[in-house]
Order: sequence, then structure tokens, then C-alpha cells
Amino acid sequence: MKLLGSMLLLIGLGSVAFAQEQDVPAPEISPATAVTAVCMISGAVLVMRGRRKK
Amino acid sequence: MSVGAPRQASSFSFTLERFSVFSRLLTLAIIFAVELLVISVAADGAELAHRGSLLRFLAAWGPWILRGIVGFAALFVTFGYLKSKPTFDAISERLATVPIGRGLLAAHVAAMVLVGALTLALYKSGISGVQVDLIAGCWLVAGIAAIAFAAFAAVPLALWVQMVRGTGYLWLYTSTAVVAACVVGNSSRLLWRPMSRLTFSMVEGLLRLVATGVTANPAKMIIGTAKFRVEIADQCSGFEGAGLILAFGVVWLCLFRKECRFPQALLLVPAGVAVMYLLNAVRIAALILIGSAGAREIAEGGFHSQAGWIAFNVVALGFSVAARRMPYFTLNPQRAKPTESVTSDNPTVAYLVPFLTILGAGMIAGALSGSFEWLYPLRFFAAAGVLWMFRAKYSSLDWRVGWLGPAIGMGVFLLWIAIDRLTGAPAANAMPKVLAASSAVARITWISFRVLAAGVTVPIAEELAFRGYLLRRLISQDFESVPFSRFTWLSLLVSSVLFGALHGSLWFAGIVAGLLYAFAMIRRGRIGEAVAAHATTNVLLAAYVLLYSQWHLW
Repeated sequence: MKLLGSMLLLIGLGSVAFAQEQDVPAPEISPATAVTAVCMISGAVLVMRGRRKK
Repeated sequence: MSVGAPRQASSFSFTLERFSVFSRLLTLAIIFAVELLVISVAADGAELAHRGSLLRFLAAWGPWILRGIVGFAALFVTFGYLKSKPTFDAISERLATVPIGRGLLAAHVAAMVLVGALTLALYKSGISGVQVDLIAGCWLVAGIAAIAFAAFAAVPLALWVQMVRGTGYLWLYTSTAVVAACVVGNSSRLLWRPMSRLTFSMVEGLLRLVATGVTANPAKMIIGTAKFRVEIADQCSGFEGAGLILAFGVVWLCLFRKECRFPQALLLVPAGVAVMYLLNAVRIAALILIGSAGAREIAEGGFHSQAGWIAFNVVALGFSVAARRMPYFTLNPQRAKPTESVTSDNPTVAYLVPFLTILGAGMIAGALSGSFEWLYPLRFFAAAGVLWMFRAKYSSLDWRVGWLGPAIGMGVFLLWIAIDRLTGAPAANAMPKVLAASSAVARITWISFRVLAAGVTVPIAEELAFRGYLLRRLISQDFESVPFSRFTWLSLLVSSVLFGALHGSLWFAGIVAGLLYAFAMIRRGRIGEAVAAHATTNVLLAAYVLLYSQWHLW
């Protein structure tokens, strides 16, 4: 739950942080794809850490 | 039903009074977010800034104050729960008997109406100076009062005090962290110029290795070839990606500190930052080379918007793998396992990987596309391949479908169209020019795969991820033991909000769709019903797009 909460927090904060418009035509980190990209890494980490405890 | 009681059967009959502290805080956050959205649409800070000194202050500091409040709330609640769970449990227990303050809720609505009226008054012509500042002052007071009324309606003052006392000095640590983050974030701009100069030199070095006729103007920060040139702005210095990796690395090392071998694991942070910074230079060099090769549209279109995030994902994944697998960095190294062993040991894989594959394929297809995503079929093939790989795992799920799923899917479709219309969608918009100008075979092939993905792979992958995994994972770590008919309000809301967030400007429609698909699954107790609902919506939307030229919905 700690990991899931942290990942959701990361997605939420990432969305807020990148929700603003930028005046650069080719930004390094595009706000338009922020949610998708943060979801991607959060999901990947959840998969990586999702192994059943024995 | 509350998070604290996951073992009880759920029911859709509930009262607000049964909300636990988290459900109430989440509801509060959603209400504030929606109200903020309405206010930000109605009032343009930049437009009003020149009309008075208080408005100027609000326009300049408002975004930072907002970020600070959001950051504080998120960090305080998360770390408060992790560190002082008994306090939150005790408050939840007390809240079970405390109803929502209806009087205070009414006061909140009245204050918001006042905020709306004052917003309109600010736009009136013929007022200036002191009058504007007076109205702006009242607007601010009404806004703060609205926040306080709603906060105390959801959680009484005495319980707020208990929350702050029970978490010790967390409020101080969190405030300090948020203020420090805002100050560092703002002052980091000073580093942009020197960092972009270094990036410029690195890009020039990389280009000279692989291309001829490189032209570089360090004074104007313009670099490229005779065919394609770019200006490296301060914001392209590599600072954002490096900052993201820094944040990711620090969070990782804090969360999994017991598994990490210190101080060796600390090396991963500067290594990750350095690799990310280098990859930004590679990104710019690649962008110039793509543009110089004649694919200007791809360089300026999909590549620039996706390449930074792809680099971040690659570095963050590399960080995670190194931290978990390399004995030098971890006390408990994990080994890679064959597919069958992976799905039995790690049930998350079969639920999340299809959806992640679609996201990954979408990022790659997007990066290699210009204004039109020709490589969309890649998403279909990638997802279909992964679903096929885990087919044995899915055979144990209940895929039966009744009338409810398709009926809900149809309802969501109508709702989607209605929301799209209400939010000012164009009456009709034609097929993208590139697609329209292509051969009939290419056009039909692309549309066929688009419809196939919308009707088959996307509904299965997204329902497995959001309803099959996330909704149940928010109830129990052993999510497979949670029946599909069980839910908590928190799990329902969080999974639906996240599902909505992935739908861009139609986020609200996405949230409602997520709630309704979840309803289909919970009501019938099987995932097949949610998949059928989702597929019905998507197929109807596809037909609507094709028959009525509503291409903006794709």
C-alpha cells in the first residue's frame, strides 16, 4: 500500500507540476504526455515490486 | 464501506456519514479541484493582473501558492498515514458517527456563489484602483471562507486539531519541504543558462561525430545543419529530466531503504541524473538529425514531445533494475524468471503489462510520427501479443457477459458525446489530411487496426489494469483474493479518477466512464462485464467518428 500510495502521489503531483502551459515549442519534458509517462513508470515499478511474498 | 474494513461485503447503498477520513479528504479534494477548474476557466489571471495591485500579487504568486497547498496536502496526508496510522484510524472511527456538516456545506456553496459574483464584478469595465482592490480582497476572503467551510463540513475542527497533534511536527516538516521545493524550483532557473551552454557543447560534439556541415552559433544558441536548425532554449537545458530522476531516485531510496546497500546505493542518484542529462543532449542531436534527414514533421511533431519522457522512463527503469538486481547496490538481489514462473509469482504482471505495453507502444509510435500517428497498429499488435502471452492466466477469469455491460457501454457512449458537445467540441471535423490523402488500402488498413484496438485490445488491457488490478489492489495487497464484486469508495474513486486523467480534455467523461465500468463489474462480480461495457462504448465511438466525421474524438 505504501508503494501504491507513493506511485499515485507521484502521478498526482506530476500531473499538477506539468499541467501548466510552456512557451517552448520543443520542451525537454512535454506537459502533453506527462500523465501517460508518469503512469508508465509507476506501473512498471508496481509490476517490478508486485511479486508475492512467501 | 471504508478502507479500514475491507473484509465486509460492499453495497451501493451508503450514506456520506460512513465515509472514513480518507474518503472525506478525497471528496474534499475532488470538490476543490472541480471548483478551481471552473474558476480558472472563468477568470484569466494574466488578463486581470494589470487592473490592481492585489490582483497583480495573486497573478504572480497564485500558481506557487496553489502548488504549495497541493504539495502540502498530498505529502501531509501520505506521510501522516504512513507514520501515524493509529491517529488516522482513530479519526476515521470518530467520523463514522459524525455526519457531514450540512449547514457548513450550505455556507460553502453560498461562499462559492459569492466568489462567482465577485469574479464577474472584476471583469466589469469602469472600475479601477481602490474599487478593484476592494473587490479582489472580498474575493480572496470569500474564497478562503469557502475552503474553510468545506473543510470543517467534511471533518470537524476538533478532528483537524487531533490530526495535526497526532502527527507531531509533520506539519512543520511538510511546510518546510514544500516551501524549500518552491524556492529551489524557482531559483533553479539561474542554472538554466550555464546548463544549456553545456548541453549546447555536448550536442555540437555529438553532431560532429555523425554529421557533416554542422553549423553552431553559441551566441544565439542555434545549432544544426544546413537543412535543419534548432535553438536550444534555457528550458531545454536538461534540467527538467535531471530533476525528475533526482526526485525519483530519492523517493526510491527512501521507500526501499531496507533493501538498499548504503552508501553504495547513493551512487545511483548522481549516475541517473548524469545519464538523463546526457540523454537530453542525445535527444536534441537526434532531433536535428531526423529533421536534417527530411523528416522535419516527425522531428518537430511526435519526437520532441515523446523523446524526453521515453528517456526518463528508460533511466528510471534502469535505476530500479540496478537497485533491485545488482548485488553492489542491494542487500537482496532479485533474479529474472521465465514467463510462467513470473505470472504465478507475480500476479501484477498479467494485469498491468498489457496496459503498459499499449502506453509504451503509443510513446514509441508517437515519437516516430509527425502530425499523424501512422504507426498506431503497433499499439494493437503489441497489446495483442502480450494478451496472447498471458492467455493461460486470463482463462481463470470470468469473461461471461450479460445485458448490463453493453447497456452501460451504450450509456457511457451517449454521455461521452454529450460532454464532448457541452465542452465546445466542433460540429464536425474531417479525417486528418495525411490519412485522407493516402491510398485506399493504407486508409482502410489504418482504420481497421484503429477500430480493432478500440474494440478489443484497449478495453481488455484497460479493464484489467484499472478495474481488475487497481480497484482491488487499493483494497488489499493480495488483490487476487478480492472478489470482483467488492469495492471501497476510496478504491472506486481513485481508480476512476486515474482512469479519467488519462483521457486528456475529456477527463471528466473518463472519470464517469470509469465509475460506470466499475459498477458493471461490481454488480455482476465479473471482469467480462466491465470489458463488454468498455468495448461497447469504444465501438460506438468508432462508428460515430467514422459516420459523422468526429475525428477529434480519436
